[in-house]
Amino acid sequence: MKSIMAKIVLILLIGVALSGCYTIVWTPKDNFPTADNSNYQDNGYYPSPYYGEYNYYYNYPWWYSIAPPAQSYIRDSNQGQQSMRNELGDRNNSGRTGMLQPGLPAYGTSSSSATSGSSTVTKDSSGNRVQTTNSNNNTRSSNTNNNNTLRNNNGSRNNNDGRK
Amino acid sequence: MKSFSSYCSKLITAAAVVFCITTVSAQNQNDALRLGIPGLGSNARALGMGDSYIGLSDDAGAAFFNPAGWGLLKSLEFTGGLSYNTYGNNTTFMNEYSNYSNSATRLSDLSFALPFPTIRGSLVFAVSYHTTKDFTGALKFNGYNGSNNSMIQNLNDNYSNIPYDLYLTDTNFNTAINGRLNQSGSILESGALHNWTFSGAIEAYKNLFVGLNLNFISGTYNNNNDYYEDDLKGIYSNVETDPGNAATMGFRKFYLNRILNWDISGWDAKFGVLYQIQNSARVGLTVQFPKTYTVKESFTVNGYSLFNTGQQYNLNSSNYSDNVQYDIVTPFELGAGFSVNVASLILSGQATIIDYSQLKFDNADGLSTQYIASQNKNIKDLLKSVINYNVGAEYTFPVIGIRLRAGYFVQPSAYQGDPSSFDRQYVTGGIGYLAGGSVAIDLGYAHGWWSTYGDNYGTDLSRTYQDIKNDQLILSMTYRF
Repeated sequence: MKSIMAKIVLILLIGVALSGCYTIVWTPKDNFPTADNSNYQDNGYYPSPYYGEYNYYYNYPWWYSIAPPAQSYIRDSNQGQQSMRNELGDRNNSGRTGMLQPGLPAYGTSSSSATSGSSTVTKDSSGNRVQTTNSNNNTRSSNTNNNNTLRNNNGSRNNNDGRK
Repeated sequence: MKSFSSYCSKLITAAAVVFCITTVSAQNQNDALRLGIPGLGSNARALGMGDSYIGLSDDAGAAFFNPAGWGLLKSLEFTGGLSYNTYGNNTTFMNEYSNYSNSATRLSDLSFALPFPTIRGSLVFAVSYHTTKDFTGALKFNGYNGSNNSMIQNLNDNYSNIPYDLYLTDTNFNTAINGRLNQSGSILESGALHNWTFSGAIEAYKNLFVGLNLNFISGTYNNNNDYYEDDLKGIYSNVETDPGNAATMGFRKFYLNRILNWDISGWDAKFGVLYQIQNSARVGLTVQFPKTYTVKESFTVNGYSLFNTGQQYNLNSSNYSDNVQYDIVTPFELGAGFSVNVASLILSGQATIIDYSQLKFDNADGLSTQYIASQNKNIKDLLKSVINYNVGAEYTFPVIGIRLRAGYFVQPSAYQGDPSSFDRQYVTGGIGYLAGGSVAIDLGYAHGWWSTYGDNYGTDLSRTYQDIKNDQLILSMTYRF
């Protein structure tokens, strides 16, 4: 009996080793699996019509009920750091421009966009409005970075799609 | 004719050994069986379904039945449980009836499971502390043995100095005692085996789960055996058991108390596979690797003799008590099971092969190599391979969240030639309720019965015939979040 059991275990282990494992564990490099983007399927053993709440009890992954961790910054740590630096810069700009032009509309919905809109305009000694180029560049750079970050998020999903 | 004589021979051989729980002295195959026979586990849902769980195991029961079942978990799971175990023994001894019972309540299960977030498949780790086996037991007997044998004579014949030390023999180790004594006694057993189980399971292919339980075992076993022989008929009232010693005139009572304490530790591993077929069936396979138990045994003997003169002689306990240590290694166990879900009804079944003749003593300290070898030979000669089988069912009422369960299972006797009445049979039932979609409360109950017998000494000289009833109740609460 020992040899039979040993053979069974060996066959299973070899099978897994040769074909690779079916399971793909989420890592911070991947987009966090949510109900919207996950490939997970209910195994169907406790179908809802017959089991009511038991279906949820057995089949609902616990990580669906939590907010995805902020992996967008972890996704590309370099860009994440740039983004944070820009935000720091924006806060400085915001402090100046907010005082100068508090009522200017924001270019976008993000805080960095709003900051960029207000931070780029100032007055010269003659009273004309001028744009502070560096400030604008910084601000737009910040926007760009943020957009990149968002695209990276989408890219993460694309990567997942690529695995399909 | 030959097969009948062979059968009788086996019966006689089986009877020739000390059987069941009535003797506490040297190690024998019953000690190995005590650890080798599987326990009932500690999962209320599984118990309600007749412990037929290898093909289901989608909760903390995976720590005992099939580790691959952990892979089916998608929620964080915390489980806690209590068990209540009663053991009743109706004994017939010399046509006299006695009954005795014992019970134990204990924390049966604490476990936590952590499924890792996966993009595909399943990876789950878990840790559990659970009771795998309960040693609660009891025996009481009282009857007049009119034959010309006794424990005193048996000890004396087997070169024990106990009768001599109690002045029940002369200085040449001859005893005037020749049976015809009232014999009575009781045994209380307690203790349990507990596992710290560390588990991991993964979905290796789609719907194919593999898992491993690594168990670290701890436990205790205690056996308190009181035995009395009384001359109620005054047969020895005019006899000096130590001729020339007037204080030994009129033997009245012989008492022997033996206390056996085990401190048990060990480890083992269990490998499991579970495959879900379509949406409605699962099959499971488990390999229980040999369990290695290290037993630190403390054996204490006390006793006295009492005479009509009022004289009492007490035994010097230190002369007959000792501490030894040895390993008991159990055989491989191969289990296979299935479950089928038809609408709201789950039906499950399983079978487990255990070859008890592969039980063995090993690594003894304080026991001779020859003695251990002879015990292992007895195990080979007396025990056999068995197939345990379990069946169970569960019906769910989805609207009210209630589940009803029923089951039946059999653990055949490990002894060759035993009749089927010696098989341990259990009927089980249970109920479960899901509160708020995340808290499951389960109650499992099992009623078991079987027959056995035991010899106080010798072979069929002072035998107790026992009808055992065992009831176990497990209450558990599982929180998934």
